[in-house]
Amino acid sequence: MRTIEIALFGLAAAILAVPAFVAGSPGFGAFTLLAFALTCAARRAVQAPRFANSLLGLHLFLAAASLFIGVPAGCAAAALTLCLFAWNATHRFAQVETASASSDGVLRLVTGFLLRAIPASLGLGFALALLPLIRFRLSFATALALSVGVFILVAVLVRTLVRRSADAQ
Amino acid sequence: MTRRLFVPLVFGLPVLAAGLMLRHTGLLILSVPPILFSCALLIASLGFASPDVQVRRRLSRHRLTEGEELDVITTLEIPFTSPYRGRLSVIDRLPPHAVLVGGENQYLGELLPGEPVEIAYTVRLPRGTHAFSSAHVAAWSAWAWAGSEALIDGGPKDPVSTVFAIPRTEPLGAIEIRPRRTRAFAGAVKANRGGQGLSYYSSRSYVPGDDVRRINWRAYARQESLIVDEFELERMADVNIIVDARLFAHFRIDEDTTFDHTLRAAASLAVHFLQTGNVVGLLVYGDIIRWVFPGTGKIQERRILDKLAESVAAEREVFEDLANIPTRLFPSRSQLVLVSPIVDDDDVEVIAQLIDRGYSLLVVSPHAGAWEAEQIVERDIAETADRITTIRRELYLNTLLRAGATIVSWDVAEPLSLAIERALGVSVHRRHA
Repeated sequence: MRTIEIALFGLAAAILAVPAFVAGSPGFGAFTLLAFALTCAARRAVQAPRFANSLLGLHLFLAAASLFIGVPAGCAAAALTLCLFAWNATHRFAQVETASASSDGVLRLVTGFLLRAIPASLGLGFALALLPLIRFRLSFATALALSVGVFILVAVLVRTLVRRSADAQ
Repeated sequence: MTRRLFVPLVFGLPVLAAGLMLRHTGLLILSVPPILFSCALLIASLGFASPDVQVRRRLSRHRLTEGEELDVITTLEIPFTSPYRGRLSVIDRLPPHAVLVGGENQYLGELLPGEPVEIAYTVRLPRGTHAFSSAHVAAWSAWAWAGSEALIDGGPKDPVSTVFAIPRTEPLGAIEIRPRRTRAFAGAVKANRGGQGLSYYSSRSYVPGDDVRRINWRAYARQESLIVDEFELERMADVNIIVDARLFAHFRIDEDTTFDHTLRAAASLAVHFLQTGNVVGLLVYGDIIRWVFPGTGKIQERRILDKLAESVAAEREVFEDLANIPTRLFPSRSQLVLVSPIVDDDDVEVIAQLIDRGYSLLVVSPHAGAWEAEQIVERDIAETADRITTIRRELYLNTLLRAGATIVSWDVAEPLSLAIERALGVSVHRRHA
């Protein structure tokens, strides 16, 4: 879904570029915007949704690099979350572009998705920016127990998912 | 699909590792979104139920002429028992080569149990058998974190969703055929025998029992003996149409091929001969042997047009030349109508052999000489090529004419009726000469 991709990737590029300009790295800001423009052009030529994986990798690299020139971690996290939503939309809505659908239906889908993805991404970025401010004491035993618990939970989830996929096939 | 759930995780874990190694808070924070996203995808997939969409189609008709438009109304419904709540996209898949000319063949939005949704669209269908067989359903959860895709197959043999687009036909003027053998029933073909009819055939001496109304009184006045006139008997004839479906014999003209024109000609001829009360059969030669047993009437017309609709040109070694035409299918000394662009000497030889066996042959040979010449940019080469092609065609057709075939050389740019009118005049004239 090209509209969603352009909107989310564009917003992600802006969230990275504006703080970069403010932080005194116009080169990085310009490069980010240029990368966005180039990826938009490339996306027009390459229709395969698999291309979205490469785009996600590129934006992850840009977000990681932006941290070293003074861009706040919250902005980088928000930009990356937007890219993740865009990547997901590319895969999920690939077929919407292939046929004729009413413009009304497409508009509702696009606006519905953007209205969810953008506030969620910005909210997550903001929450993560606040995360370093929260400090609490954690004993080694509690941390170990929590880690093991999370590990078991993830293992159970994956096992259930694999079983469901096998049943569906 | 499962692999896709872990893509963000694969991107997030190296960032997490780098953050831990470098003790960089920013990198640690950056690793959180991909890992969280993977978890969200995972959890959403576990709780997602695919919708059980039922698709029903109503077609405005099941038979139409090629190029005509067909209206399709598709009803989408999910049962009350379905636990699905969310958005979905249903694409009613069009048959290959169908062109969407109006409306939309996709529904995008919510589908609630017990509230069916209709999508209406119009397609233009080329010649062929078209099956509206499947619909592609994609459904997503509210955040699109989970989804499913499925192809609902109604089955290509579903008669409710199958449409025949038959070749275009054109009305043809009188076509005089002279098979050496006709049937016993009255028809429109002159049987070369005296009897009841409309055309004068011969005169003979009166024998008791002859109808007195047929006595030629003028001849009696001259010869002083009773002479009766005989008219040419008109009977029903067996006409078998052979369509050349060898791929190499045909070529593309804009959006059509000469094969399409060949089928249209065969359809027009079949309709004409059936309407004039003959027994008509069809053989499509080139792919597999497509054969319609000879018959008469409207049902036979439908059978022939349906067979022509589903015919395709193909390249088979066994049908490389016309030598393998199964002549056992045709009654001896009957009328054959061959619709073929004659391509080489072997074709000419086979047709001559058919004439030698006693068949009467009408050869309709479609070509697109002028169109072909226009496609060559260099004018001098185009003229030479056109001349060579024309000379070769004329050579083949003249050979067939001398062998006793009736030839209709048809430039597909003009109506078939015009070519028949022009050619049969020449042909009849030469035969009497």
